[in-house]
This record gives sequence, C-alpha cells and structure tokens, in this order.
Amino acid sequence: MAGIECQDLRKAYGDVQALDGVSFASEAGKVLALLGPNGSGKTTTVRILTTLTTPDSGWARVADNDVVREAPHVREAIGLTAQETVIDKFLTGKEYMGGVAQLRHVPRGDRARETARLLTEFELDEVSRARVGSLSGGMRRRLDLAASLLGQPSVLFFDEPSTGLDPHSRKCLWDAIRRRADDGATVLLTTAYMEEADALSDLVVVLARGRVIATGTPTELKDDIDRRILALTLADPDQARKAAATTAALGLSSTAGDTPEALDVLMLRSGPPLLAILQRLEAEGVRVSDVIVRRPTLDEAFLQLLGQADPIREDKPQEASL
Amino acid sequence: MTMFTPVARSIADLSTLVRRNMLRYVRRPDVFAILVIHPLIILLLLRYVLGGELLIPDYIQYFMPGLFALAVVTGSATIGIELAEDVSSGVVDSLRVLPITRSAFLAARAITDVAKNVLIIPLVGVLGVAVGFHLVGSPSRIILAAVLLLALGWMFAWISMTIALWTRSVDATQGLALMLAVVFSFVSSGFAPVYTMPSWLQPFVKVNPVTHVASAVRALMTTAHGPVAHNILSSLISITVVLVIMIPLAVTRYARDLR
Repeated sequence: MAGIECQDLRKAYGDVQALDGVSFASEAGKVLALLGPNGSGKTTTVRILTTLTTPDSGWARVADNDVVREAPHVREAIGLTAQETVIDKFLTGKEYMGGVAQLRHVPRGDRARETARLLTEFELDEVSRARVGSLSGGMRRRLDLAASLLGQPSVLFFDEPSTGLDPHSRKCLWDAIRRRADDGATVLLTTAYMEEADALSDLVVVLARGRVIATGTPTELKDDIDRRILALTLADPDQARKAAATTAALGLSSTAGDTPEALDVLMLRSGPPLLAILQRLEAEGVRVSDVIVRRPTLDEAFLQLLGQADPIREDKPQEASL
Repeated sequence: MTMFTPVARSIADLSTLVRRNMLRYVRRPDVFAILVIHPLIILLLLRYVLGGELLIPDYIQYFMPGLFALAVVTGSATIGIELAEDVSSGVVDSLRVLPITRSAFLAARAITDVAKNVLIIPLVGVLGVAVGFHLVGSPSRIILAAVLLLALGWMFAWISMTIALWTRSVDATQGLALMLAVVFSFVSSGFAPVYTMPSWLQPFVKVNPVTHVASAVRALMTTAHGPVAHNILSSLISITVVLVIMIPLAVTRYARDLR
C-alpha cells in the first residue's frame, strides 16, 4: 500500500512552532486534503513528507519508506507541485518537460509520448514551443503541474494547486487530480478553501496553528460542524438589539445581519429548539417580521471550526469537542 | 527504469543539469557578454589609461596573467549569484525532490563554471593579443596555463557557491562574491610585484592562490623556457587547501533545509 502516514510530527522554526504534533494517514487511490488558513502548518507538513526538511520529532512514511532514513527511496515515488511556480524562463515548455522527464528517469523511449500526453491533458499543446518567460501565470502553473506528474509518481503532493488558476483551469486540474487517484495514486493537496477540499477529497485533515483540529470525510466534517442559523428580520434596529439580548439570555450567540433590522442567531444542537426561541422572543415583546432557518455556508462552518481552535478560547481541554 | 545503471544515470542527470545551465547563457548572450566586457575594460584601462610602462617595462606582459585570473574569478563569482537565485526562487527545492544525487546539482554548477571559463580564457587572450600582448610560450605551455586558470576558477566557483548557500540571498552573494573576486584578483601579484606593496599586506598576497597562479601563468605564457614547476606546485597546493575547506562547507549546507 503506497500511502502516506505520519505520527506526531513536530517542527519549530526559531520561536515559531510550525507543527505541534500532526498525525494522519492516507492510502492508495485516495485524495487527502490538508485544510487550514495561512500559517497553519500545511506547507511545513508537505516539506517534511517530500524530504525537503526533517521533523524535530515524530516520524512519517511515504510510499512505505521513512522520509528521513529512506529519503532517496521516497523521492523515487513522489511528485510535488510547490506553492510557488518555479520554471526556468529561458527554456521552452517542451525543453523543460524533457529535462524533468530525464531527471525523473522516465525511460528514453517513453519521454516524448508521456510529455505530449501531459501537455495535451493540461491544454498546453499550442504553447509548448514558446519560452516559459512569455507564458501567462496560469499557463506556467499548468506546466509546473504537468511536469510534477512526469514518471507517474505513486504519491502526489500539490501545495495550494489552484492558486492563480482561472475557473476553467481549476476544473482541468481537479479532473487531473481525481484521475490520478482513480488510477491508484495517493494524493495529498493543501488548500485554504473548504469548497476545494469538498470537491476533491476523500479525507479532510483540518490544521490550525500546527495541530490537527478535525479529521473526517467532507460529509462527516460538514455534519459534525453542521449548525442551523436562525436569520431574523425585526421591525426596526431597536427591536434587533432587543432580540440579540433575549437570545443571549438563552445562551445563544448572534451576529448582525445584512441590514440593521437583521440578526443571525447561531442555534446549538444542545440548545433550545426553534419554537422555544420564537416563543421567548414573543414573550419579551420582540416584534419579528420574518424568520428564515438556513445552514451555514461551508466557509462559515470552516471559520467556526477554526474559532474553536483559537487558543484564546482554549481554556477547556483541547480537542474535547472533536 | 531498470535499464539505467546508477553511474550512467548520474552522468545523464549531470548532463541535463549542465545543459540547462549553459542554455541560460545561450538564450541570454548579454549575460555572457558582460563577463568578457568586464575584463576588456580593465585591459584597456591598464594598457592605455594607466600606462603602467612608467613603472614596469612592457607592463602588458606583466599584467595579462593577472587579467586572466580576474576574468575567471569574476566569471566564477556569477556561479554563486546564479545559485543564490535558484535557492531563493525555489528551483533548488524543486530539484531536491527529484530522485537525483543531491550533490549532482552543485557538481553541475561547478562543471558549468569550467565550461564557461573554457570560452572566456581564449576570448580574453585574443583581446590581449589585439592590444599588444605577446605569447612567447609554446602551445603546450599555454594550454597548461589555461588549465591552471580553470582550476583557479573552479576554486572560486566553490567559494561563491558556499557564500550563496550560507547567505541564501542574491544581494548578499552578489556583494560578497564580487568583492572577494576584486580583492583576490588585485591583492595579488597579478597586477603589481609583491615587493611594491606594504609589508602588512604581503602575507595575504603570498598565500593568495591568485598570486601563485598568476606567477605560473606569467612564466608559462611570457617565457619560452622559464622555470615553472615551483609555481605550478604552489598554485595547486593553495587551490587544494581552499577546496578542502569550501566543498564540505557547501555540500553540508546544501544537504540541509534551505528555507
């Protein structure tokens, strides 16, 4: 099973604890998304798994090899698209692909065919003879992605792969990633967007401040953090303030809505039911003119998860709620 | 993939990397031209503006070996600058995840340096002859002189690569490597005899590899039978001492995280 497995990875850069005990595992044919905001440790994790740096403690195995002790074997098996696109501007797309194909030790007879296939897959046929320096940012990004797939690595890493891509190119990339997983590759991608993790991955690992704060399938995660938002419209802004005070008394948090008369109340599964909230508002004389109950957007749910990981509110035992 | 033996593979890796480095010069001839224009300007300055004949008769016969050394040393300083660019842009990281020997990338840079100096040395020679330099030595003596110059360039390439890897900054490498190139070239016997310099400076001049190489090259190029064995030996010893320090420094730093 050519997968990815890591246990209790820790890594500090000076005073900054980039990784503070990260563990997860994935297997062949699966796409794992490392989801988290900037600075949460995604890139550091990828750098350890791709042998670019070593952990201070903990261990990781990629394609059945230890990333520190058996790094050369790991490099035989992996492909990486780094966050920043780095391709020599003075080479043509084809020259660049040819060079990487040689360095990845693709058999000579297969190089031309494999290069051509990837250039077609990433819609780069027409520009393969142009110097990289003359290509648009999106094209360079696609060329970088195509090159990382040369030699058909069994474990693929994409660090924020859709950065700088237009919607069409992103779709093209997502299809390519899914195809590799369907063909049996282990894929790890990092993203700051729940939407991307949801669209692509079989397993999501949410990172915040160098720790794993949640792990699950996209559906599990969404269910886990699934709350309802009670969107109220009141008669006037005064009534909205009164409604906020009333719901606060019930132990519910609320945020201002889109208009001064609107109020979004976050319902809790363990909290009072909808009818009880509305009855209390009526009893307090709050004049409610409209009520909508909606699910939070994915990004709201993600932010909520991160909010729970915020150490300022972390006075309760960590990770207890997850 | 099994058809490659490890050695054949390493050679193929090296040639791919060297080709990539050399294509940079082919595609950007202006970058290469600067490496020849720089010694040309110094050549014209020394030949016509400073008119060193007041101090040393037939000064061009004296300073050309120093100018050759200056040309290869500044040329080699740019190897470090290019490496610093590759480190800071992330090219090095993208190579470090490939299944190639880690030292292949540094070795390819150093080989590129030799290839570049193989072009620069004759170009500077032609320019020198055009303004009055007389090659007295036999062809074999001249080739031996060129080989010594290549060794000097190779040494300086490792100095500038070490600077690049430890500073990881293009600006710092540019400043430091070019400054050292100027110091090594001029604070040597390349352009003026050692005895004309203040006594506190002479110890450095006497250990400077450029002094030994310039003296050997001078004997080889400007005399037909002058004794050279001592100067060649001291050149090789001084170059080896620097390499023994620099190569491990560069390689160990390269093996660690460069972020």
